[in-house]
Amino acid sequence: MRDCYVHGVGLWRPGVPDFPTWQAGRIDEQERSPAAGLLAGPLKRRASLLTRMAIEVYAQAASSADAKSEEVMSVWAIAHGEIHTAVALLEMMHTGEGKLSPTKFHNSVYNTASGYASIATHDRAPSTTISGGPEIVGAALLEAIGQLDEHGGETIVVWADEPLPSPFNLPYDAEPLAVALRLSFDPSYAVARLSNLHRDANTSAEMPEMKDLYIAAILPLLTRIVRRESASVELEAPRTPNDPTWKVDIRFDV
Amino acid sequence: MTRARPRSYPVTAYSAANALGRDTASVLARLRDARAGLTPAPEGTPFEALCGTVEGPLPEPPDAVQEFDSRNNRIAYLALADIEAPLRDAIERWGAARVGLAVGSSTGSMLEAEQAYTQYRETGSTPAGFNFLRHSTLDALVHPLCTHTGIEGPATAVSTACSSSAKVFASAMRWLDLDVVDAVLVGGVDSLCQMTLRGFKALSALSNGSARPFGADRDGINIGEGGSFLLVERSGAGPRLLGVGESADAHHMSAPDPTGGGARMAMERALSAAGIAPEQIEHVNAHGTGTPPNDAMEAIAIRSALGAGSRASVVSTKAYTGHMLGAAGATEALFALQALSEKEPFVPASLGADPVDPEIDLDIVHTRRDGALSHVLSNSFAFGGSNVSVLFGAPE
Repeated sequence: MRDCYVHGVGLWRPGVPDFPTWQAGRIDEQERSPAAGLLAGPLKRRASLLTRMAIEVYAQAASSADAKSEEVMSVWAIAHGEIHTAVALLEMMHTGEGKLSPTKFHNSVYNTASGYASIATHDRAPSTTISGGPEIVGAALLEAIGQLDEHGGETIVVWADEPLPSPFNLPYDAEPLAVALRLSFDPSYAVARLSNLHRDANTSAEMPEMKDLYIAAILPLLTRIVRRESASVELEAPRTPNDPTWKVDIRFDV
Repeated sequence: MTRARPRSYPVTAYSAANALGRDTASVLARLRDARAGLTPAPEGTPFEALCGTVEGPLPEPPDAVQEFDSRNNRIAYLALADIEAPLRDAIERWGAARVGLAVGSSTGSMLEAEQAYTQYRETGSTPAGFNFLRHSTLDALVHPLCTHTGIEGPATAVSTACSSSAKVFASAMRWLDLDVVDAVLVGGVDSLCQMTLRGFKALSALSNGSARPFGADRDGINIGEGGSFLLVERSGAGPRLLGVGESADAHHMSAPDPTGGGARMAMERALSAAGIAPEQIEHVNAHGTGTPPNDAMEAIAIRSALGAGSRASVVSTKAYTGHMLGAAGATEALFALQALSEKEPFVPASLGADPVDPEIDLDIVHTRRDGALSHVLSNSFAFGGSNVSVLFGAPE
């Protein structure tokens, strides 16, 4: 598979407004709500935390562009979907006549953030939204490289998820997380090179304990970017010791 | 966007289960005979509506994925039955790690989440053993399908609402282009639930009767459930997947761009990707939901993408099955492929379209047309302005 190049990084987590803050290891206790400046008033008011943090990291990854392309493709990887909006709709079914809010309903689809981003930027470029389990980090990179191979240009991959709301709690504590990478096949001024995205047998000796969202498996790749440390990086925690997992090599020879 | 290199991959097998029937032959027989499958909405729906329901008992989950049980997955197992033999052959031919899965779903197993939430409201806790990750996420679809089918290559769920299982064709082409697979099982599955019935009701988008796509008096959609799967391979016999066009409306979350600009762009990109001229398109399986705005927009988009001189026939099959949301794209692609079939090819009647809206300048098909065609499009549009058009050609 062709190498692709990282040109921008976005990150948001409660207490961590952006990638430079994460890079510095700082925590800003005041940061509880992403700015999502791309969204104008009414769009922002209607957007869930999931949508706002996805849009925030999308914009962070895009803003470092040297020259914004006419169109930027995107892949949105969201394992649990707009789960808080969905649970709010479930509650509405048990309230009054059981009618749903039309706005909440159309904001409950997995591609809500993608829709908001295209509306905010007037960008009609191809975009997809994927879901799934632990394989979601690698699967999103595969879609992104596929888009670049098909169309050229740039794509922004966004991973965003929240822990499940009550009464569907996860069996562990986790914080919401959103990460974005802007990718292209152009090595000029790149942050890092990604190569050899592939899936094969898990090489870890021990099963890691699942303690975070599936998408948090992207964070070890960001750690390599911070350290400028070349490595082969596992992109998922396997379900069983024998499960194949996605891996990618990251290099800083750019 | 640069033009993609023309390439094509055969669709070597397909299968479906929905309101028209529990197996592929029954589904296609009713499509051929123009007999709709709509019935009253499920119990617990607080208003009258017609829906497309998969009738009868559904298969038990395979032992290995018992804990991932849901109506949605059971519909998937039913819909997979007719494609299991060719899929096994493909796995044997290419190796399990070289066969991928791209499945579309919009609501997934929301039905089980609704039931669990109801019990939580009544008793203060969700049912014993209910695990949202095992029952109501899209992982709870992807993982059991891989386990059940033996697929070990890349696997993903595409969830772009009503275009989900049309988008899967784009993923399949990319994976084949990238040479990470030699075959992809694409498909879509969605099951009826109160969330979608009441949600579309809240949007005033449900029909008072049967949907009448492109009809002068159309008044909205019916919701349906079902599943469809298609096998796309690097080589083999069958109609050809020639190109997929994707675009965003960049207009509104649930209302289509009335100019049809985004939908037109999806069709133009499919033509460009396939290296096919607009006048070569002989048939379009439209998104054709039956809402006044969608069909008016889509008519403009088809006319502008294919040109004033286009003689393409246009059909919506939504009144047969109901709008199957995340399963619609794959199912309608399969319906469009009937026009390319080497055996008894046909274009089905567009149920409910007579009389056609005088504002709609398209060749809407009122009675079945037999005979083989060479190039067809299948359109799918969705919330978030997610548009897809899939282009197929006759077998080589």
